[in-house]
Amino acid sequence: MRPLRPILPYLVSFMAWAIALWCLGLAFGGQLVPSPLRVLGSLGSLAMDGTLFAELLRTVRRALLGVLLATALGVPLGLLAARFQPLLRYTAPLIAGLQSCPPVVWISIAMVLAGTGSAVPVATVFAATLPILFSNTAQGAMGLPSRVVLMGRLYGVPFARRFLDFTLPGILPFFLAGLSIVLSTAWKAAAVAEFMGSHDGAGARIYWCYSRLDMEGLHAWALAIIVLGLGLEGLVITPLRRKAAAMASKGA
Amino acid sequence: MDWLSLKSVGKSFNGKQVLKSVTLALPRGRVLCLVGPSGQGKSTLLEIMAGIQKPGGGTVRREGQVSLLFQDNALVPWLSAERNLRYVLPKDWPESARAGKVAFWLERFRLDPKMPPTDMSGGMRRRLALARTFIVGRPITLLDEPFAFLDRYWHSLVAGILADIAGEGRCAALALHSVNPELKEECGGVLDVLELGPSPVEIPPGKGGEAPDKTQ
Repeated sequence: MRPLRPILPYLVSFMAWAIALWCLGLAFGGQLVPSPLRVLGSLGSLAMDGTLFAELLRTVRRALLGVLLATALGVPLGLLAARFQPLLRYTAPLIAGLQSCPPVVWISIAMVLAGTGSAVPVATVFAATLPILFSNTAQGAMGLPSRVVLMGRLYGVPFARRFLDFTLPGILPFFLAGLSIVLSTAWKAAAVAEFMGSHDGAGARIYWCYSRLDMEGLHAWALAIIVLGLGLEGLVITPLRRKAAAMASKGA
Repeated sequence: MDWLSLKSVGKSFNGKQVLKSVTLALPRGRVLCLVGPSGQGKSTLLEIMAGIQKPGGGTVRREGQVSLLFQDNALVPWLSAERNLRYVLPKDWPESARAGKVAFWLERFRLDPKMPPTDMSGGMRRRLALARTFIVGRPITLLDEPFAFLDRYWHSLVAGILADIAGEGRCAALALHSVNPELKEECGGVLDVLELGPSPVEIPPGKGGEAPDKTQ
């Protein structure tokens, strides 16, 4: 029993999903809510013909590209804002507003500007995650000990060394904490953006199934997205959060 | 010749005058102790001398580069002791010189090269901050409460280093609550003591040591 303990919560959750689906199938009929076995069968055939992994990979790539672009812009902007704090003070409501903006706003704007395709999920992830990375980086940079900054100037420490040895490690716990939020946001935002504004990817596949009333396929794709999200949470996000908390408690 | 001189330097914070017209000089080969209770502006004066604070009035003249022991150490918390020392070394020093200096000062202050300040005791952090101040070998060494958290062995060691600095024609200024016996013993011949108080302070440039001596 002991070796099973770590996976027991997943088994229980899977059973709960299967029972709920089966009950719904009894209530609404097999045409609208397929049985768990049919969903698993559909998932199996999607995996066998390669569609499942290709489409999931496409969604992951788009989400990661959006996060990468948001990091490339959000981190330098956050560092700049921490250096010129009035700028941060005056733009705080804007950042808070952007953070609370639902992805559907970005999806609509991206669709108007870029039509449909990869640009929509990438732009949506970028817009949804940029404010988080920006504000976390700014918060981390503002928390850097100002006396160490003075010390660096006094001894004429070159900018590159100050940045690599002091600034970057100092903001890292805040960045990692932001990244853990951003990754789960990105995954969800990418799937929704594909549903509304893309021809391919896991989100778009759900739209296809929905429009054709292919309920087995719809549930299979939903299950795949949830399982991958769980994997992301367990293998990447939770370790990132732990790392960020450990570094913060050690002063870095 | 003086490495550093201050003329009528004053400083106020929120309307409260902390320093009232300080005139003094740090001549070559001398160690100046700025003595006084808390709140007399010793740390502020050292920071003005170092150039990291602007004076409210008066002039500061430096003839060489400054190294400063910060009151709160100002160590990089996540760098090891070795990397904290390397952090301040000039990039134009050859690697062999850098490695040699770092090893020498780590050994002298008995510091574990791999240990970061977050894992150190208060005394170890102070020793690391002292090592960092001395390693650069600049002509003007300023130390804010250098003996805090240290026992008598380290008092003697630091006082000996200050005597060496004076012997090399460099200079040092220390902010202290009082002058300890080790300092008097090691640096007796080159030691000047200046008591900071509410009145204007003046030492003619090059003639430190006129103020009353406060031996612990």
